[in-house]
Amino acid sequence: MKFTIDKGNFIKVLQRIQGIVEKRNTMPILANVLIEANNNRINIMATDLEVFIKDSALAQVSENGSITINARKVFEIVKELPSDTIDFSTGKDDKVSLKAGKAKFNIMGLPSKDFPAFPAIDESRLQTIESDILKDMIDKTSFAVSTDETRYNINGFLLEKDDTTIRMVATDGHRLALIEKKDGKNMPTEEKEGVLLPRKGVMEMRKLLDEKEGNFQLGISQKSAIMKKDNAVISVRLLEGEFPDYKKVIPKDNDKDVVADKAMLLSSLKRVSILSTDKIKGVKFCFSDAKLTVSSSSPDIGEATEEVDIDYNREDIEIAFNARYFIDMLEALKEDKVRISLKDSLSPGLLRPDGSMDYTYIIMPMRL
Amino acid sequence: MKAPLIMHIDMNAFFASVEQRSNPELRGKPIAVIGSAKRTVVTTASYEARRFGVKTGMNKWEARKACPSLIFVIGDNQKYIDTSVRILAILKDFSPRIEAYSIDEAFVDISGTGSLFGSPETLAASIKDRIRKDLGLTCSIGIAPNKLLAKLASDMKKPDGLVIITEESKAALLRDLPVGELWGIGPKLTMHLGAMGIRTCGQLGAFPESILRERFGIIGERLKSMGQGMDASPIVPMGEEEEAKSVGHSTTLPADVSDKAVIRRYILKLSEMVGARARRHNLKGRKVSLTLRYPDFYTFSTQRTLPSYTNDTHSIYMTALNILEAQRLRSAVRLIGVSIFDIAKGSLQMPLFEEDRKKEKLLEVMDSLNMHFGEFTLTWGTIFEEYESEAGVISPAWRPSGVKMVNVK
Repeated sequence: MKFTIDKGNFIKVLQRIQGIVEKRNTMPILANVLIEANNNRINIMATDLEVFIKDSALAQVSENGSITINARKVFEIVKELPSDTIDFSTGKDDKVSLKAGKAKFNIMGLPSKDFPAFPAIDESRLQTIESDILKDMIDKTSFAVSTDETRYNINGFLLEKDDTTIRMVATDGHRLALIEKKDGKNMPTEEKEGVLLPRKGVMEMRKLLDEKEGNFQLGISQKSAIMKKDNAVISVRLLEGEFPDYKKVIPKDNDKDVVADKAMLLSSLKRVSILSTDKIKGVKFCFSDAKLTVSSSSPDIGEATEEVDIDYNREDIEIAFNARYFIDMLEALKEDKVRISLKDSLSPGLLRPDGSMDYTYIIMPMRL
Repeated sequence: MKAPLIMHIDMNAFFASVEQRSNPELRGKPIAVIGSAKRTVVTTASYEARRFGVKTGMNKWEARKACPSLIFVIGDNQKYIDTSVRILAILKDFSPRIEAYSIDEAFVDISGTGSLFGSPETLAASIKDRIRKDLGLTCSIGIAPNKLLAKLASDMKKPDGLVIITEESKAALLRDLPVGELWGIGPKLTMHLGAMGIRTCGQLGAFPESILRERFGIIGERLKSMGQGMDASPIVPMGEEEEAKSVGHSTTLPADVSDKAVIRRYILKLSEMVGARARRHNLKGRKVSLTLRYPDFYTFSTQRTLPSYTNDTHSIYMTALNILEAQRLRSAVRLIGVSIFDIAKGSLQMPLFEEDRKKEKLLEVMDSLNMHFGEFTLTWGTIFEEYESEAGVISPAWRPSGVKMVNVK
């Protein structure tokens, strides 16, 4: 195999796959990237067996072939090479040589036949989705995904579709974020109710959404979710497990509505939570007539209080929340006003953008 | 600063003596305390019974054979705990710096008490006197410059002994003392040391540290200084225990085990002990570690960080299991330890999902039942089988109050 490639193009495709290359040394070949040269393109692929990514770049190929080499090393080398074009070739015993200007690297590779195969893609299942919609859905839920590996059934996003709506839900057992988009006709899903997308795979998809604009292709099959844009393809193995019944935790009788200015509430919470006990950011919220008092205290450091103007005219409520959970949601919110619906100090609080039902966020309080 | 002076108090035949105090008919007779009616293993034998050769760990049949007139008494943990607390209260009159080491042993820092209570001999006599008068019990006392030697001293004369080891006398004493007599050197370690030609403390203290370290890892260094009668471990007075940095339990298995299913069961049991203790003190940890020690004393711990603080038995157990599953066992395992660390005061965060709240409630109920009726009254089905085969004996690591660390080394 032999090709010459523009340094910038090569860096771009190598960078994309860095996030999923296996760091743990279970299968040495998973630390490698597969490089395939064919018809003036090179195809690149990497996987941790959960997420598969492939991409391609233009190159002048003088000899077709394929090889796998250490993904991190080749990326580091290419970044530092002194000239704009790079000569890449393979020699005997899977040795790879990289030449640029006066620099020359020889790296040990592994044969490409040992590399896991990219899952087959059923092109008929792919349907178009606008990148902004998908981005918005991921950004408004991803912070709530549990990273507790012992709770694998919430280590990802629930993606659901019915006739008119697509829905994404994430939770860590203390809070839950749910976003719905009405324009569901384009969203392809399997016959089954919903699928569980693992966190890592979705975050890779999110990166790709940032890099490219316009419409993407998305498809869900029995085992995996596939996202495609031009030559870049991500395939993510679906999580198995049962996502908790989120409908049950959406409060139905929270009748005390508060409307607050998002930016003001957000900055107050960021200030006050500085003094909440370091690890668990508990902040006390006292809702009274047109006024919210947020306060925190840490026995070793001191205490903080701040008043925030709000729209509220019901009886006083005192309730404590983890400020982090509040801040996460407010930061993701695009609207200027947030509506907080409460019942009492021990029941979950419901947050929504004022005047809209599409985005729902539920936080369980802390005991006072 | 005054030279440190540590006293170790070891109650003589504690459980048996307490039984004899509370039932005059048993006094002066050979008795043996057993865990419960169903158990058959002797936990403590009175000195009268010991004269016939009755020993801790014998089963009923062996004990009866050694001493046909032996009286079996079913142990009453509450009685022992009450007595233990009263002993500590007496010690408190002599020094504020007391470490309750186990139910029948305590360390007392008596450095600089001379002007108040006289010489160490006088002080020891006063303490023995109080314990005898108030509780009718005898104890052996060891006094030395550190905990290691104080413990050794109290073991040297039983019952009702008093032995003082000084900086000057320790070398002569240790020279020919078998290593197994030292606190912390058990039969297996004695055997391993023996295989290296080390039989006495004198030999251990003179042995090249590098070889010990290579053989035993980090404990190697400590072994050498133990052989020299040196010990820097401080007295941790009651009420001054450090805010717990970790909550852990470990257990040396009755026999080396390589069956992962059995190891898993021990891990569940240890996880439950860790979880229950953490919950009792409203502590949560964000890191879980699993320690395994092999028969050759090769020991290693692996830890995993959780995204949130927990004291839930199930998540501790699952995390420890994940660690175990990622290991390839070198051989059979001799010791297993589970601990949580990176501790925070328990969060008051309530779970969102009904089933999680139920689980929390269940743990609460389970803990309060176990508080009332004793450890493992209510437990997980999986460990029941294993638990059945052990004696219902109060844990030697039992402490009267506070969060104590059971160190996993």
